[in-house]
Amino acid sequence: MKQKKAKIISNTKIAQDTFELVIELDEIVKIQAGQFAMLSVGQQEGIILKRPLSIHDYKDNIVTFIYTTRGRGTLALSRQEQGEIEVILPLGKGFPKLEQDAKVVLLGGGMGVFPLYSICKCNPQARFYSYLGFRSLEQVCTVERFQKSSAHCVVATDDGSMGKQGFITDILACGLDKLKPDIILACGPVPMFVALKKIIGNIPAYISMEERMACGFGACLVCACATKNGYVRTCTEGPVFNIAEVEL
Amino acid sequence: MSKLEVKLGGLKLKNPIILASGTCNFGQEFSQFFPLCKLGGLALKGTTLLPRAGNPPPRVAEVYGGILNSVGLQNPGFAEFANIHLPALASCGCALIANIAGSTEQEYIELARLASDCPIDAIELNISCPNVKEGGVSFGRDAIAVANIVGKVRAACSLPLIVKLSPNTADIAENALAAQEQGADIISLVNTFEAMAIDCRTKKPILGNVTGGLSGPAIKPIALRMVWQVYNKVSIPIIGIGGIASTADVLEFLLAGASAVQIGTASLIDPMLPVQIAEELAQYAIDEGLTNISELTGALEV
Repeated sequence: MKQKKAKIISNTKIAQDTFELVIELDEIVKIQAGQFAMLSVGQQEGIILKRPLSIHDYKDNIVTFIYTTRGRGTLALSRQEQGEIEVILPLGKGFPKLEQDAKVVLLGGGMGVFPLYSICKCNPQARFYSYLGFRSLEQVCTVERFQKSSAHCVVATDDGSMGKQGFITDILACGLDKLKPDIILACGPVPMFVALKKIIGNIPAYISMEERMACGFGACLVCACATKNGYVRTCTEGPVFNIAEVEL
Repeated sequence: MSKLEVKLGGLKLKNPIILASGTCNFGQEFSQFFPLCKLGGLALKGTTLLPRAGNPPPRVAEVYGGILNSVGLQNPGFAEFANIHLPALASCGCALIANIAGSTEQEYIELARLASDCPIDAIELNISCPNVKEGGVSFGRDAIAVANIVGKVRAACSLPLIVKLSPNTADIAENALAAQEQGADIISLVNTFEAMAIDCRTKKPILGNVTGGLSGPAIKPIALRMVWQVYNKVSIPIIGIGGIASTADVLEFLLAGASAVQIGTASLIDPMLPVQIAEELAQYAIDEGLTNISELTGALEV
């Protein structure tokens, strides 16, 4: 992991409350799917902490993040259209490397959809079945990227304004027996993981957890994730965990 | 002797920059960014006799110019500290300070005795953690409580003893004096301020523990005032702590009476900052023609 200054290539709105940030590093950094970075968001508004953002895509020294504006920090970041940004990356334990021809379900809910794309980029040898859930049509984005890298891609919205109507885990549940995936990789809100745990039977599943962070590199112990072995650091022992380990 | 080397009683530091307890775990996370020998010292994670799980998340909330935390002294317990974490720091090249925290007098005494046999340079007595229900800050609430625990720990401690004071008290200078009278070698101040953050949309506290400790630039002016007041009351050396985020901040704490400083919150945001500050301090000492940085301690012109 390294701390470095990066150049903002673009930071554009791609859906409601959703931005795509592309940065250029001064060197190539090796990234694992599911890892994240800490990014400075601008101290001008009294915001001192960096913000953790999951990596959506990368190529050589170009790294892409997709984030939603939920608080002061991400709002401040969304207003930064150019210039330099301080980053620490790559951070955390990502998703496991996938076997040749593995049949993989990607399950994403809301902004949890975006980090899953890094798995497609890191594992071109696997076969992906993507299940992507959004609240409503206004938040839907990046679907075409998943369609290109997946054997099959299902989109659902809570209100039915795009794709199927309903929760994405319910839709996955209907087809799971027939699909028989080797592994499920998921990112999204905790209720989605709770629902997932009920339907997977013996299929191994890895989930990317979210928790408020301060440092992102393991020093402060604020991002506690409750596991079978007690509290561990989401930033260092995670953010990706075997679903069987996490107390949901 | 280098321009940055400072002596705080029996504690020798190659420069006055120490990473604050609770924000540097057991040092290894920072060694990914720089060799630890660049630091004056490491105040290691607050350690209790037995492992402690800590408080339920969320444990951090950001406020204007600062952060609240409620980690709640999560730590692996003294045995793992002594057998795993300390050996990993054996040749790190900076002073090691064990921060000990108890729930009972007996636990503090036992920890002081055990830590005195460890390859460390000083013991920091944590009687100021605001995030645990029993013990912690209740031992540091007033001068009588401070005198009581410092006296008992002093008798069990054969290393330089630092007493870390809480700002959540009526008169911090009285508490410092009580610590000095009971044999403390060094005073470190301040720990975090008891504080709270609320999410008005959910009508709930942001922290799982409801309240937490405020740190960061927001507390610096109060910490500076407290260091100044303590400096005017005691004769033992002071380690200044509270919102330090730049070389100028360090100089301000030295002028107010500190002999060394601890950096906490700012090093979580910029892990390279402590090293950068140490380098800038060295340059400052040259530029100002100082023989030693300690010439600044208490040099405030009032």
